[in-house]
Amino acid sequence: MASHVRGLPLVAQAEGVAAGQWKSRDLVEAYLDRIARLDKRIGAFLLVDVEGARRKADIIDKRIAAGESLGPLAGVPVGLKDIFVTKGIETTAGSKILKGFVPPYESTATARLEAAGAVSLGKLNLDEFAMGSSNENSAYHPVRNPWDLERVPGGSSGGSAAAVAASLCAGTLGTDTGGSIRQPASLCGVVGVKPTYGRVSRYGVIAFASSLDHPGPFGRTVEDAAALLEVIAGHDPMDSTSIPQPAGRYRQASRAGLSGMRLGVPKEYFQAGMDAEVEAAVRAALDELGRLGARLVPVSLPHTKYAIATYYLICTAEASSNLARYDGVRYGHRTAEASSLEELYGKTRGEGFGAESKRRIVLGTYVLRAGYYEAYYGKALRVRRLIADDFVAAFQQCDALVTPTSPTPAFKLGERASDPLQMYLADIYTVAPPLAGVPALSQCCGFTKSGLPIGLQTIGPALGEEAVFRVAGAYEAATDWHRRLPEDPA
Amino acid sequence: MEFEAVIGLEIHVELNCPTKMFCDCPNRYGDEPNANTCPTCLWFPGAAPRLSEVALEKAALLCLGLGAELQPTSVFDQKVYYYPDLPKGFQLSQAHLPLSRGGGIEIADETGKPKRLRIHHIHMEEDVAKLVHEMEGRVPISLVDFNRAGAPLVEIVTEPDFRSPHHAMEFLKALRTQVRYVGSSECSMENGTMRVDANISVRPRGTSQMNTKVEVKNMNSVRHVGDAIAYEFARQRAAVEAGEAVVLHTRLWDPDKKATLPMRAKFEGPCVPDPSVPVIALSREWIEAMRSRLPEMPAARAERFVAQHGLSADEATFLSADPDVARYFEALVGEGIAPRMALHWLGTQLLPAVKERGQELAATKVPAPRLAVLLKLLARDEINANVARKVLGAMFDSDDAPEAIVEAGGYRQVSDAKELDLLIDKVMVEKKLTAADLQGGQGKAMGFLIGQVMQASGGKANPKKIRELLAKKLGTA
Repeated sequence: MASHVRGLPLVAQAEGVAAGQWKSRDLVEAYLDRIARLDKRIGAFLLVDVEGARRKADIIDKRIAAGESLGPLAGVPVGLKDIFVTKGIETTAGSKILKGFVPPYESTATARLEAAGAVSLGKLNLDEFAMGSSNENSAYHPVRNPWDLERVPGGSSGGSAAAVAASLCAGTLGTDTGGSIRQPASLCGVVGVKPTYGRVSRYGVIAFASSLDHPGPFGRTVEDAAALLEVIAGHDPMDSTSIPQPAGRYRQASRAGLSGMRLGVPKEYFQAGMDAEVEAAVRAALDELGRLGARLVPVSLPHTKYAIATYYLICTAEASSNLARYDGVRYGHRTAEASSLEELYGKTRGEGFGAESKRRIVLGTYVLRAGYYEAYYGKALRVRRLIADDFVAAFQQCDALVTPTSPTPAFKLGERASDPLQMYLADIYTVAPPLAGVPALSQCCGFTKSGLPIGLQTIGPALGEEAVFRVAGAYEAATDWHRRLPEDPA
Repeated sequence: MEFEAVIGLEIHVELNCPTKMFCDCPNRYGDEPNANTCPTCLWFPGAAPRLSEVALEKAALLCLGLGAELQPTSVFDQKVYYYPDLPKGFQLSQAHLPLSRGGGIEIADETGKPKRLRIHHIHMEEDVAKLVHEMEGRVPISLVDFNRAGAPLVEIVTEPDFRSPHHAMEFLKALRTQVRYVGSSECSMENGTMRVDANISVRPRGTSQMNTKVEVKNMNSVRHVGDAIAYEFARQRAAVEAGEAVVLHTRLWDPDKKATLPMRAKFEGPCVPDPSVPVIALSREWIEAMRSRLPEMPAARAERFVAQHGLSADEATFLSADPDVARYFEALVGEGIAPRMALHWLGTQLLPAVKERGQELAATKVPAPRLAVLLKLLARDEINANVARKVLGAMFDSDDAPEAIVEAGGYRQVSDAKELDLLIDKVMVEKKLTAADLQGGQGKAMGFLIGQVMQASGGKANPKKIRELLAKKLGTA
């Protein structure tokens, strides 16, 4: 069994369990075995819930043996970015300030996964509070890219992407604020989906920037990601920004083909600064989509050049207030000695937060301080509207947009760590969709000569996940990049 | 130079909703500390606010009741500051786009002339937790009770239209009446459901300049608000006369010292729209539906009482000031009690009795239909007023019908002429009174005699009847 789960799609595992071909417990043991052997080198997990996974798998197996019909993900082992709160299981957001925090409640997305029969193997590594593009900002340990252990997996959902790439889970959940699902999916050669804002509930997802945070799935295949999204999407009264609509039929869309679709190619996404191998692979993918029956349309998103500045103004402003609650009073880290309230706050937060969190709190507090609101935050909100309008205009001419996900393949650990600006600029292709709230997906569209995955991004109109899945499913069906697997590390 | 005070009020009113503003926890006091909490009002990581529909409706009714204009768009902002009573490091409040603008209350000024005091805006916000400071052995410790955290509030911010403590006190009394009318809050400073901060500055009378203001907090009765304003006005006037500058700061009213004392400046952090509470968009239809739910407001009701029941303006205003009193009065009249009798018994007997027993009028043991039965016995001369008062007292301790209490106590009025004649003769003999005594002395002896007959009857004699019989005896009838 253990060798079988390597590269085995989630959908196939669910079907196997439902058909009585495999036991959930066998799948769980196979993954636990791989995690025990391989994750020392990769570092995808922050917490492996061995006993919990075994217990839940056994329950699923008993119920199947009793002839009960279970949810669509019955028995499938999954992993959760450690930013989803899980009742009774330590949740840290990759930060020392939440070390030892055991939530008293469960996030909506993970509760829905469990209700569908999925079995959680544990909590996955991330950049602290989802702030980062390399997973080097985890307060615990970095994650390494399964395709090259010297390289980063991307971030902030680096553990979620690496775990799928290395077959340590059948599928995973992550969150995307400025690219935190799509960029690591691109760098690890897996499928990652950032749905429409409000499509998946944020209840129980530790907030980084509330107007930009999008929970979403990772899968080995487009259909795997679609199967996960079908389960976690849909209205949740616990999140006031949740869209009051049921989940769509994404698996069906991923098999529907793309004939007749008009695919926009935004010129602003094909400019200087892109790695030559990335550009070649993405252009080849565009040709392939054309051969499959799509009509390629040149379009323009004229405000793209303001997206990074706008994104970093808004996300740091929102982060500074979202992170204000970590004061050591109710939960998480509290400094050992403090003789005044100010000292309690200063030392607790000084000890608890890492450098990137502090940097963003300072930036956010700066842009919001009295008298500067209009110059920075107010202006950023107005530019955000223009960026969203760009997408609305583009979707008058096409059904979906196709772009690269990341301007470069995976870079080396430490390579950009000393230059935060360089790190921020690498988000160039991923920050605009969350600003506009539109859905986007990244999938593998080739490899560099040195064997690093390259990502293709498909962006749809608001609530247009089906269009995105049609494009991605058709492309995947016509190519076999997704079948390539990284070597297991020795 | 003569100075005048320029005063504006900021009034927090706790809405009487069953749940908190952004979660389903009970909005209730007196429970065990931290019993009424959840991940949302403790602001655990991942928590998300959900605006209570009831809180929005109660806030909207309060605005409409004060003549304010509900805004089609209002937004919750994050007011950032760090303090242990604030679980997420920011308070959700409407700093930029409030729920309503405008509105106001007309009061009678010191000379009885009407004066309109305008409201600038009314916004919604959440309450913070309660801090308790104690000693654990010799170590001072601070405890936080989050039961109140997230309780729904509105803040009413007035224009600086007030010139005197009288204005402020009259405004607050009228405000309490109006808010109680719409049913949004008990609005009591004593129990903390209304909290008032006053902003005060001074200027030479007759000028229009706005000078540096001082904020005064911590008054817990309407009287304290008046006292604090009077004190602060005198303090600032003295400072200005001595050539000192008034500095912008906050002071606390100390009711024992009867003085305002400076308090530490508070850090004011940034304030930005909250992305997790959707914009509140109120349609014209929704606003009109709310308006149709407004009850008859006190001024209109008082006017109606004058016209409909022939009461004086003062009597009508007294009855209208409290919606429960007004309802009780109308229920009595509805039972067929004459308006003046209803007013008299409600004002002089029932309300004091209810208050004395610590009951709420709306839930008293003697509701209007029950009192009406008693008052009808009185109106039909079956009992006299003395007995009626006695029976009313008994009704608070018993579920028996008033008639039953009257019968059991043998309280039925003695109106029988023969019986009363005998009593009169008996008293006259005992007290050695003659008809001549009664005819002279301007009725002094007459009053004495009636009192004695009442006593002899055990309080049951019909005084009207005694008077009639005496008149007959003396041939004056």
